[in-house]
Amino acid sequence: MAPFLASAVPMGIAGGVLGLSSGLSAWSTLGLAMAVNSGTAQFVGFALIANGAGWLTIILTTLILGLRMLIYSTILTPHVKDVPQRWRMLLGFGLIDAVFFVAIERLKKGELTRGKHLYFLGASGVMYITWMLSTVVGMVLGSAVPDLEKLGLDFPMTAMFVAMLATGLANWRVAAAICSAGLTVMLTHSLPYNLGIVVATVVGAGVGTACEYAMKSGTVDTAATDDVSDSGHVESDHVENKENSR
Amino acid sequence: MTMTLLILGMGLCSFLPRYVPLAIFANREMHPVVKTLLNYTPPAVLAALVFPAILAPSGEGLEITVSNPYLIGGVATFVAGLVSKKFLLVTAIGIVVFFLSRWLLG
Repeated sequence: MAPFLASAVPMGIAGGVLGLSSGLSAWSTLGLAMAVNSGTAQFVGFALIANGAGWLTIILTTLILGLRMLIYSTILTPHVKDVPQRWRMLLGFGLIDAVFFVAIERLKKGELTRGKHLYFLGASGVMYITWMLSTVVGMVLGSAVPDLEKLGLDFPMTAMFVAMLATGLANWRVAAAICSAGLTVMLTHSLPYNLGIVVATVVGAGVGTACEYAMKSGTVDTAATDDVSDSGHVESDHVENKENSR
Repeated sequence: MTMTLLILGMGLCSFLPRYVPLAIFANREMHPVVKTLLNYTPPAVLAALVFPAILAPSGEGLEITVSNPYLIGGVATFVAGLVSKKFLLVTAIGIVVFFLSRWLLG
């Protein structure tokens, strides 16, 4: 959790700076951050508002950017069977990249049997509060220091994502998924509304799955079964690594 | 007032894709192919987010040059991650290389 928190601070600050420089009031900047609870939706929203985009475009873009969350939410679905509906609403609202990756790793290791939704909500809450406080800091800094958005505060989040990819690179099928998703996103960058991210995710996951099934059909059953459990542990490797480094 | 409505609308559109699967599908068993697909989704999403951020950081076409600190920092992070596997250390190395190269490049 700690590395995610640390990288949320510069991203939140960047958001606060961007909001004001996009022409939004302080209340709108913070309000938008609080309502969407998503860095991507927030940054793209600021850019669209600054460019004078219509409300329908802004709303649809937010929805399309959220399709990624549809995937996260579906992955977590088997784990919330015993969680009441009113808790699921809060879980849904708090579901962001960082919380998803932390939660799914813990859940796969079976560490969270009782009260897992509380662990999940705690992580969401801490991330949310950190993000909003950082946004306020960004607004204060943004009105005091000019050109702050050119400092490269967006890189820590990218570095974290790259580190997750590299440390979790368990086998060639994961590498194939990464490369095909990367290639697709670069080739589809001209698609509107960042739709390329969604297309690339589907292509990458599809290629990884195709590789796994191609390999399974070509080898003895036992070997294939071993490999399936391998890829299932890709994410839990991250957790072990993170804990080693603390 | 319009801004308030817009923000509320964006909030709703951001919330629904996260909540609806949790609300509806929670009592169904997933098909094995779907499970495998979902297993490969996290690395695919990460790659889709990371490639443009490194190869085209300013959003104006490819910038595959030695004067692109995002590319230098990204490659350094990746290499460090292949060697060390210690998540926090790898991220820290990447960030240091990024800001160092940015500073050196002016």
